Amino acid sequence: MIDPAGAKGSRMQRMGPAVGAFSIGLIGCQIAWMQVLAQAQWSHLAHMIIAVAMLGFGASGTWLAAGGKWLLQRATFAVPLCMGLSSLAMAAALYLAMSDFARFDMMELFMGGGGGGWKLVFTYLIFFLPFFLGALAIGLVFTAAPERAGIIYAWNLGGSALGGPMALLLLNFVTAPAVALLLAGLAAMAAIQAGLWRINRWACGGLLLTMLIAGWFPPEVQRSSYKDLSRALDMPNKEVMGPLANAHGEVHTVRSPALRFAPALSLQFTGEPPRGRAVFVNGNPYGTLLPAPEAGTPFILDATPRGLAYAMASPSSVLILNAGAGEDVVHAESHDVASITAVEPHPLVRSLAQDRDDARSKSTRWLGGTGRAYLSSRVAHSTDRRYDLIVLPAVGEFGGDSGLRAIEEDYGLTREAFEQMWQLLSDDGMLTVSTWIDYPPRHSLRIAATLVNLLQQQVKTPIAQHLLVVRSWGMINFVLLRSPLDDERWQRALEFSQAQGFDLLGGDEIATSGAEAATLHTMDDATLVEGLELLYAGEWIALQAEYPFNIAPVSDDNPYFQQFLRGDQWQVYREWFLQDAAPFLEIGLPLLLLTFAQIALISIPLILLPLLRLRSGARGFARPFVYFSSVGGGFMLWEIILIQRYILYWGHPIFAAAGVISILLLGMGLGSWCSGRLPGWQSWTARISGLIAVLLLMYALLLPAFITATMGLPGIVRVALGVVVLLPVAFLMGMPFPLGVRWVEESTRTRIAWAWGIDGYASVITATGAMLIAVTVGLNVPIYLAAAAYAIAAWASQSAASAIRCE
Amino acid sequence: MSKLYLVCAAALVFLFSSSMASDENKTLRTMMVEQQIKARGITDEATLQAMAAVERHRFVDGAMSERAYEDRPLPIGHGQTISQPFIVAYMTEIVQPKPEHRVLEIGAGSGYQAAVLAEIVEKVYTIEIVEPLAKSAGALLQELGYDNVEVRHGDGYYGWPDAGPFDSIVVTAAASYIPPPLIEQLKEGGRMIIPVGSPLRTQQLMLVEKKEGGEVQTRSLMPVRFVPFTRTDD
Repeated sequence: MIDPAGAKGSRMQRMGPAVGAFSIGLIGCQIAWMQVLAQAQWSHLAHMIIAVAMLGFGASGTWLAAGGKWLLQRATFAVPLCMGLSSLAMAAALYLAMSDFARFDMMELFMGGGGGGWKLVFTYLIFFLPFFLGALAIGLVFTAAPERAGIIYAWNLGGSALGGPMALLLLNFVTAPAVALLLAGLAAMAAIQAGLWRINRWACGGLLLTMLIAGWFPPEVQRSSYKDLSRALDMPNKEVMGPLANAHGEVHTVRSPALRFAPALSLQFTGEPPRGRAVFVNGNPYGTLLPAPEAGTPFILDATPRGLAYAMASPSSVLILNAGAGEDVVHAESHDVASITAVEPHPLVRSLAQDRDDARSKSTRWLGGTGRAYLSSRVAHSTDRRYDLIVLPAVGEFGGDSGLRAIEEDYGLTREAFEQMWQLLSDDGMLTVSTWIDYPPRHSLRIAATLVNLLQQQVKTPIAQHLLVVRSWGMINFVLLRSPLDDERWQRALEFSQAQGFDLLGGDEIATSGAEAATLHTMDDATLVEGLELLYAGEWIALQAEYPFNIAPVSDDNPYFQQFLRGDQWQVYREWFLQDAAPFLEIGLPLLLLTFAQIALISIPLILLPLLRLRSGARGFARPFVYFSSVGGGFMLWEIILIQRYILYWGHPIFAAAGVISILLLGMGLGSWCSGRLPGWQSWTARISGLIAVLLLMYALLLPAFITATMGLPGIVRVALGVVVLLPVAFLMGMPFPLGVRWVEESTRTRIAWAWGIDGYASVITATGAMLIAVTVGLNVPIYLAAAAYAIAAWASQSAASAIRCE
Repeated sequence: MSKLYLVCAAALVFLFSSSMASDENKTLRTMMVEQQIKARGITDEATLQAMAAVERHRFVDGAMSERAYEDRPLPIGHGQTISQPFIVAYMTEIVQPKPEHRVLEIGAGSGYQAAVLAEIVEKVYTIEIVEPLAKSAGALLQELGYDNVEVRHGDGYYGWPDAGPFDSIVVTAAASYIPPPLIEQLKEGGRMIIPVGSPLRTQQLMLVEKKEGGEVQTRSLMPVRFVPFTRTDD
């Protein structure tokens, strides 16, 4: 066996703090890069690039296992050097990705030209390098000091746990590129602390100077010209405010005489739509800050399908969920609603909307958090609070979003969310939700199916008495009524639709005449109207069976409202695509599949490569391979799904992601630390892995019920409960890797590196795989798979221990 | 003397290669009309002739010009695209242009749609809000001899009241609303076409018709018909 560090081995053992600090820098930088790429491009591309780049973790293991002896013998030199180079690469990646030379634009990939293909590969490489070099340094420390694997792993996990929250905290004060450079600077200091100072002081000085200069002049985010913000900035006489830094996303507002707000405006409208201040988050539209209309003047939304509810009744209390920049608040204020409650999760946008100078109703309450979190708290705590009207924002985007949001969870549009809304409606209360018309119809039919499903459960009178649908040329508005439609409200609805030139597709009209009702706005294809007819007849299951898209209501267990593709229809989609005959494109799920395929294709040969070198000593490689891939994959399956569940529980994706990752990694750090005290791996690896498998099964069965039961509790209590629930399993999950390292250490150190690589590959592959499974079959299946993975790990280690005992 | 030969030779090579390129583009254009446009059901002869006549490759950047006749939209800068040839042909056909017509276009972009219309109608008025695009489209159309096209830099919302009313209006830059002044400037019996689609692909086109008496009706059109589901009781 090689003694890699020789007399300097003890130095490796003291690497813990440096590894911790470096991990903070590397993981924090990753979060900041994601923000930069999401601002410059789209979040999907950011996910795709970073997921592929993170293969650097696995590749470092391959490198070490295949040719790492030379490095291992020089570990005290190589570790700080790799850390230093990694920190330089972190900074350089940002400058290169924003340079004219290499800047990649996702749209170029679809439209051709601009060197989209090679630029994408180059972008992968520049983000891959820091991960590779960084993981090489950490892997070297593990390999050089396996007896301290538990402690080193604890520092690594602890640092990683802090990296995410630290980046999010910094994003509230400085821009995303500046955050990335600050954290790259921290990684550089970790390199110096790890021993770079002893190797070459001039190099240290140069590194620090480079970081200082880079931090002083952070690159500007070069936004795709196809982003809505870029187009808004092309408008004449524009006034721009921002960017306002925030962990929820960078906010810009733009005002221009050419930017008007009039979504799906009636063609009977003869006035001029209001000009507001358009709000953009990460360059994507987020709403419009609008002035209040002059007293006695109708608000612009009254000339759109969204005006139907106010035309039918005069609500005195209105709840507006995910209120955005407050267009619906201004609408409610223009109708002199006595009590308005608006819920908006983005703090900066909420603050902009709340501070409008001309807010007419001083009684409007603006609240933070997601709409779903608010619904849950009200349902749990209030029996007297009822709303005459609940308003949801428009679903989908004008012109469609090409399915880009297919893999985003939306707990505000699940069956459970609508049930909670129903409980909060007053006796004559109404719920209004609109969708942009898409083709082929998907959003509109799924909303209709969800509402019909709700009514089938809640009312005994005909559905047509509880659901009105009004359509303009571009938008469909649904109004759900808690009590059956009476003549007065029906007449008002008719008058409204006639005055505005809209088609009323609901109420008695659709029950009797269906397609004939649509006269002013016709479609060459009757799919939408026929689909609505089937839904009104309560036959949404029959519709679902025939339709090439999945339009069934979504649930909290599968909250991907905008995922419409059906697994059994791929052949149909393929034919459309090959014939170039499909006037639609759903790229969200295919992009995820592409990411998964890329990662799998790159990983598999890299995992197997070291085996060629290990041929002589490769005996018994199968069990460690199964063990480490199961442990790495099982953990990531669990983590990704847990984040999805906690988005509902804690009410915000960013807090859920940062919180869950931090708790898991901290718990694992503790577990890893304690694993060093356990005598021998043979008796513990199988027990602990098996226990984790059992616990995961219990979580799969009980976590949804636990979340439902405690969602109404105050936020701080939910946070505390969430931490308490997660810590035990996180603690245990920290043990299998260091115990496994002690297992493979007994044969050859090269295998430690290989194990490190396998763990890395498995984590990256399953992170994307977990999303794929969740989007297609729901959130519980990946947890069952995670439990199975840990059970397999238990079997692999148990069988290895038995084999050793037999020998 | 030898220098003179060289210059003459170079000039000949240049002329020959220009002529070859011109022939090649013409062939590509013919193929585009046959395979992408006629094959998908465009039958209006005037539209087909216009599509065959307008040199699409002149309306895209040099680097993209060799892809000008492909069946796809192409970037022209400022986050804008020149539409897929079929969409341009479809929008042209659907407004039923006649030689005596006056047409308003909102969103000149590269100027390609205006050039196609200008091949058919008496006068085209086109407005572009992005100043660099307005300038380049105006200059190019003038260079190509389209004297019956007027390009203006400005906000298309207000249309071109001095020149209206129009027989048809072609909106190539879709907005989430249809500006009331455009409906006002549409003649009774006139047609307005608006694309409504994702940035990657046009999903549907909206036809707005102003009937005699002023009633406005809209119709969602599909460039390529989606296969609708069939009811079990059918």
